[in-house]
Amino acid sequence: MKLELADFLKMVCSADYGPLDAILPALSKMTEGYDSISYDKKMDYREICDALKWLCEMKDYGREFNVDRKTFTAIGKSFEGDRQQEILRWLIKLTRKR
Amino acid sequence: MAGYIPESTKEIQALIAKSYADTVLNAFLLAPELLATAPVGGRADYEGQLEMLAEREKETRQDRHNFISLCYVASVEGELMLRYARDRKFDEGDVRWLEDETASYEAGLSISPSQLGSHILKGLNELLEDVRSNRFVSRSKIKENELSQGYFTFGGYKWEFHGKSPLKSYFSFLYSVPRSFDPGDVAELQRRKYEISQLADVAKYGYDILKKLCEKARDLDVQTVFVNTLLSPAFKKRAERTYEEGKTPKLMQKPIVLSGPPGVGKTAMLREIANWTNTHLFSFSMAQMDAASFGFPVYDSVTGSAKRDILDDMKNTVKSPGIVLLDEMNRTGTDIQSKLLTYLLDHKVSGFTVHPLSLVVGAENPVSADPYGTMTKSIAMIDRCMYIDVSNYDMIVNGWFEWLEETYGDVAEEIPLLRYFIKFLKEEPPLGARDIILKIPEDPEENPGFPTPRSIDAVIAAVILSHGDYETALTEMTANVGSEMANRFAGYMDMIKALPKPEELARKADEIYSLFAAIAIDSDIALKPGGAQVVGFEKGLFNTINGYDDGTRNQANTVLEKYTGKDEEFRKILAELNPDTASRYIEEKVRELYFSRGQNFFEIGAEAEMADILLSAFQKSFRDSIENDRPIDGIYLTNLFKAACFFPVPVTRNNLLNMMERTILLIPWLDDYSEINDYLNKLCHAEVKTRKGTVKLDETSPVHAFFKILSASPWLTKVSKRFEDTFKEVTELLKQMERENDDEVRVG
Repeated sequence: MKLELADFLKMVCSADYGPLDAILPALSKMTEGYDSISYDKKMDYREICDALKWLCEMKDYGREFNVDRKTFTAIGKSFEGDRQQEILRWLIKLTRKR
Repeated sequence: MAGYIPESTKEIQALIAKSYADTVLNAFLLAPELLATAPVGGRADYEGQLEMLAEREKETRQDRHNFISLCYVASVEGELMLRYARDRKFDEGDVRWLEDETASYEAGLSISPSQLGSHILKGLNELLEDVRSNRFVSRSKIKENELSQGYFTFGGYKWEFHGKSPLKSYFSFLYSVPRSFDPGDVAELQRRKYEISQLADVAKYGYDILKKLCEKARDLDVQTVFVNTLLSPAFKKRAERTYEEGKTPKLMQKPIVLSGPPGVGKTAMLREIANWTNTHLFSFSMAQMDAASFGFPVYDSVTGSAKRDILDDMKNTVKSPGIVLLDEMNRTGTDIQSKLLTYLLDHKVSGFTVHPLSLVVGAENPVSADPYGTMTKSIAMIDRCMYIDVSNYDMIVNGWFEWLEETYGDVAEEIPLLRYFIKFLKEEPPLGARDIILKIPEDPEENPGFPTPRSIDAVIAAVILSHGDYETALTEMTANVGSEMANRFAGYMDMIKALPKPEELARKADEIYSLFAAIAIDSDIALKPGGAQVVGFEKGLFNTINGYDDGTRNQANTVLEKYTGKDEEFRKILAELNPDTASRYIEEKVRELYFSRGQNFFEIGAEAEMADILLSAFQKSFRDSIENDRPIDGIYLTNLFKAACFFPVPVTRNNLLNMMERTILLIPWLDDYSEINDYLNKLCHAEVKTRKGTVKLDETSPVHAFFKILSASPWLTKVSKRFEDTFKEVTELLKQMERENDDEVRVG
């Protein structure tokens, strides 16, 4: 099941009340049943970076989501220049295998 | 100015990591409550530090949770007070905001319930009731009374304050607002509210950032820089005493300023560190700033609107942890420089404090790179900062190549054009572009596109986002890095396109007897125009095969005698096998495999590209199968391996075969021992496509599985000494890994 990036960020806000090592299990529980990320609702630059940062935290914690090619491109192309570089770096970190 | 001259980009990264770790440790000194939960430990190596960090993180978890919860309450109360102070009353919107906040908290609590959380939820509901019933002001008086006695309650939970707690001072100020309102209180409240939220972030993310910095420092393995992520117990005691004396303790730090020509990757280096630590990069070009840019939104006491010009990101440096880059520092006038200095040294922007978990770094172009654009720096700035010279060409380029591999390695596996582009960048001329990287033209305004790490990164982004579209790549290249590189790359790709395809090589290799692949491994091949010549064989090779060399060996031990197959034609070939017939056969196969397209690719130095085609196809096929639980294509892999045995450059051939063997037996794309082990177990029970159909393996060791996947292996082991030797080596490595049960086995 796909989780919209903006909805994921809302979940982060609902879980963000304790230390990181408590937030991540809670977020993991909240996102149960979702296996991939979609990006259909436009977000601003900082929101995208925040959401991707949290997805990377989740990945470090061991909870991964698939980001398909279409979603990768849609997020990556949402900004240009330095902002695109920043977003791309998060996307690469999120999708890299090792 | 030159400044400190580092030996490698890794050293620069380690220096930045060190500075960032110091910044985070400093953040734990901002409040006595934080100091009580700070990472403390004696001097240790990185593994030791990681252990102590994990232990201390666990130990302080509850205290940090309490502190974060109190900060959360402080922030809710602060927001309400701000809303109240603007109109001296609440409206429906304010009530709705608190209702939403309470609902959101409740949703979070239902996922991870806790006793403290229940108290806070109760407190939020009580607060909501007070707001609805206009009891907010009278409530403030009760709270002021609690604070005067050194504690604070919320939802029945009681927090006691340290005498120097910034939270106590914050709450005291907050609840005094209704009693003695001053228009300036709104701005002050806003500023203090940010500070409280920053303190909560230290308890939330401080340990995580330190752990990530420590892991990175370990991986960088730079001997000249030691990154410390723990406060010594003695320092902690001293800091506690400082608090008792009524002062705030602080570690001395010198801000880093990177000095190097434009485009060398200064920003990328910092972005990388932000990426390691899962924090943001905030980059500001000082050349574009004016005095007003350093302003911060301050609520107008009457209208509540922002009254100064602001940059959104400047605001965000107060709200979120990250790396703050103040770029082109020496392109500002003296009026900005004084503000810059305050920013760099005290992390202050117009009275607001940059997030304490943020590292503020400066960057500038040396005067030599931009003689007309740079301004004179103040002595105060030079004296107070640590300048790092980032202008050594070889250091930058080599470090950048490593970084490219590390960052884009995975993506490049999916997007062949990117893989070729990275190879092209590293390649010397005439094939590659190494010689023109960072060569800034004399008239950059006339030729704005030139190849620097920054402009090349823009090309890479376009290649990734177009999923390797060739035309897009060339257009972006011409625009970003100039026509010289674009033209060279077009030529390079023409050559790549003309190279034999892996499927073609595999199809041709399918016709080759495995015995000859084994002989080819141990043959010495020399290239000649339009083909190759076998100039010798491994000593004793034919003795092993059929006793031909000296005839002294026991005939029963020869490979010929051991052959029990029913293939009559092959038996005949074996009977007639000698160095001459073998040489002719190998030369013919080398020609068919590598010279059939009428072009000698080895003549133009494309052997690495040719080897890469084989290896990438081999790795991709194996990795896709093992990762996605699909049958391993043993026929295809065997054929690619056989084709590699005939690679006409012995050194490259050896490396190629080594890498292929290691791909199956050591899973080189993984670092973690337990993951490698999981994959090797998977390998032992994988499904394999063979000539007899798909079979399911049930092997006890990966080595046995390897033999089943590469059906040519039995011949290779019987005949080739080189294969036998390297195979033993890999097997031994595998056993060693099992014995040591090492968490971080490096294989490459």
